[in-house]
Amino acid sequence: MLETLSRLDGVAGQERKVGEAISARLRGMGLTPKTDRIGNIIVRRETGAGDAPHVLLCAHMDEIGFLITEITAEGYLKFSPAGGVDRAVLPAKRVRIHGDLPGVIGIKAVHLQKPEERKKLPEFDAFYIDIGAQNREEAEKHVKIGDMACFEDTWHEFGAGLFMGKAIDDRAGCALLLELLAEEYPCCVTAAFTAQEEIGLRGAQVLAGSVQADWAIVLEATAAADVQETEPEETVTMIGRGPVCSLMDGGTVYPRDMIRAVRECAAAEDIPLQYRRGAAGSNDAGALQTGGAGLRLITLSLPCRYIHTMHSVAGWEDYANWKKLVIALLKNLLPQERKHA
Amino acid sequence: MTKSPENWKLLHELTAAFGPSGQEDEARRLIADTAAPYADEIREDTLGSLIVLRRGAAGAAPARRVMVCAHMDEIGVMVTHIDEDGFLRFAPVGGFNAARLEGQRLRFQSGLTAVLARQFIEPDRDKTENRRYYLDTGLSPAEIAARGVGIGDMAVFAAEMTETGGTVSGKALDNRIGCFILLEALRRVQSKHDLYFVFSAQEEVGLRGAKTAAHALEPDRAYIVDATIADDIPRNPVITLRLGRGPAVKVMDRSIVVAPARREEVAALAEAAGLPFQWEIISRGGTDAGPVHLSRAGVPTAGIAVPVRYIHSPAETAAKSDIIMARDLVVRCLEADA
Repeated sequence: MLETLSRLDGVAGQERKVGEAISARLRGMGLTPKTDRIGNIIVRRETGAGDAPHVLLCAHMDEIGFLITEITAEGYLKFSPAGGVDRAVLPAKRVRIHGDLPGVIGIKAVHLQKPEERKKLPEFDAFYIDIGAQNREEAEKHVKIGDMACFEDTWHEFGAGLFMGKAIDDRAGCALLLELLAEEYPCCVTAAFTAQEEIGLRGAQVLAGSVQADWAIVLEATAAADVQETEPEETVTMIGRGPVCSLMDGGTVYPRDMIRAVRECAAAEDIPLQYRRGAAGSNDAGALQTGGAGLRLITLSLPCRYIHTMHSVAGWEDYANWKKLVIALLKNLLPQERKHA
Repeated sequence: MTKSPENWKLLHELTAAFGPSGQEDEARRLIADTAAPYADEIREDTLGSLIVLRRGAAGAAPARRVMVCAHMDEIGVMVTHIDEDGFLRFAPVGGFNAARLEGQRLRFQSGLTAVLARQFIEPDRDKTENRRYYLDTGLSPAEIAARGVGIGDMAVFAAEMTETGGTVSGKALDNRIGCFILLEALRRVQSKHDLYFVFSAQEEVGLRGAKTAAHALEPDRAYIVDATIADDIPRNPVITLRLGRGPAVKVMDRSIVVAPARREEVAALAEAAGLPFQWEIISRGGTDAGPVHLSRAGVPTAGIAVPVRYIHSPAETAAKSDIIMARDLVVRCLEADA
């Protein structure tokens, strides 16, 4: 499922294909998904019990990419980044538009660069997408201003149980959420596949206005920095050390008692757990926690190297432990959280 | 107004209480206990804000729902990593600028203290980033754990409030001064309105507690009481707010432009009571006034602040007279008919 979702294209604001695939899957499970005005896919699953708590599970569908802003006379496509795109990963990378039109991100050849140009990273406006068109007229047959391009998918399994691909952030959360819906829980569950997280938690803001839940779990992919020349205190998270519990990020200070409940649940179930050792960045939790009269929540993430690139790397063992942890929490965290409901 | 000695002991206790954003429990408990004798209802909301209701006089004319809000959280740090030597790395909680605070002592809720220090940095490298700094408790990782401190725990300045002449100085005057003013106003106020005293959580990390509290309360009016930056320091060519010149009435900050009618209303009440005031216009930093005035269909909101020097340091300094006058002004706003 994760491979299928990773291969789909859904740049922030144009998640429709991903939403349709998820909706189809949900209907196949006998569920009735709804799409709201901003494009969130929402499905609610009741339990028999009337007083059962209501838990929101949330993962975002969108991925980072590029919005075409101009078609040059030569037939090149200029673009703006949609979401947190790192200029350093752009040169000579394959992209595609409409899911099937291939292109490559062009940059001046090394031979032609001046010595000072070689030393610094070009700005976004120095890059362009080359779709092989001879001129503007030819390019316009395939592409309009406002279309979006995303990284070519590169799904690949490799190494010791690892996989790489684009949009692992956060199709991994979407895949997990679909798997979680196959289980039974003693609580009412709303699963939300949100739109436009990467450009400002926008789908989640709309969701916060419509959903009524007692507490929530945000499922994310987060940066693993267990790479060369990173000091131990700066690794944030590491692949192979299990799912990641956030303590604080740019959008949220997570409730300490919920973090403790996660830690105790992981220990009781013998599931490895790591904390996110960095406070930068934010996710849908920021919008959900402060929406309406407020929502208690935690973020549990899959550690992911090279996040926001077309070769995001994560591991199956972490994924399996992530799933075990969320299932255990939904089955066990409830008595503690019922008090807050 | 009462002529009894002012209750500076309460301000002392409020500043001493531990309460970084998201971990305000200790401050919240102290405030709840202090408010209890004067409250009709007290509750804590989802984000940790404390909401104290004081009902309007029974049988009075149609009353408003008035929200008066002061944030109770303070800045600090959160432990993100403990190395094998026991050095603790941290992330800032709110506007915590380590480079300015090197050598300061910090305190965890468990009582453990630590000094803020800077790692070795090559002479020509950047020394301003928080990640170059660490906390030293003098203990090993095992001893730190035994003293109740681990990843996710927060620390605040370890500093006692002092009173010198007409000033007070200490940590967390931003914004325990506001909490003090609300508690003192709660004790004194006689209003026909239903008054919701909100001690908001998580202001320093993004004005979060006031947002959800305002949504839940749906007030007709709101007053935000905070500490603001006094810039009356030597050689400052353009001083905007001074200690001892009275409370600041908000005109604008990065989160709100106060409607002229709202600020003029507050100014008129100050003038009628013979209270001096200063206009507050700050170009950096937002306040709870931001999310509150934008709540639901919008809430008419005004701001009253006490000028504080050295804000976000362990020695925030304010004038007692400004605090007393701000309290009196807040009481008049809450009692006003408007």
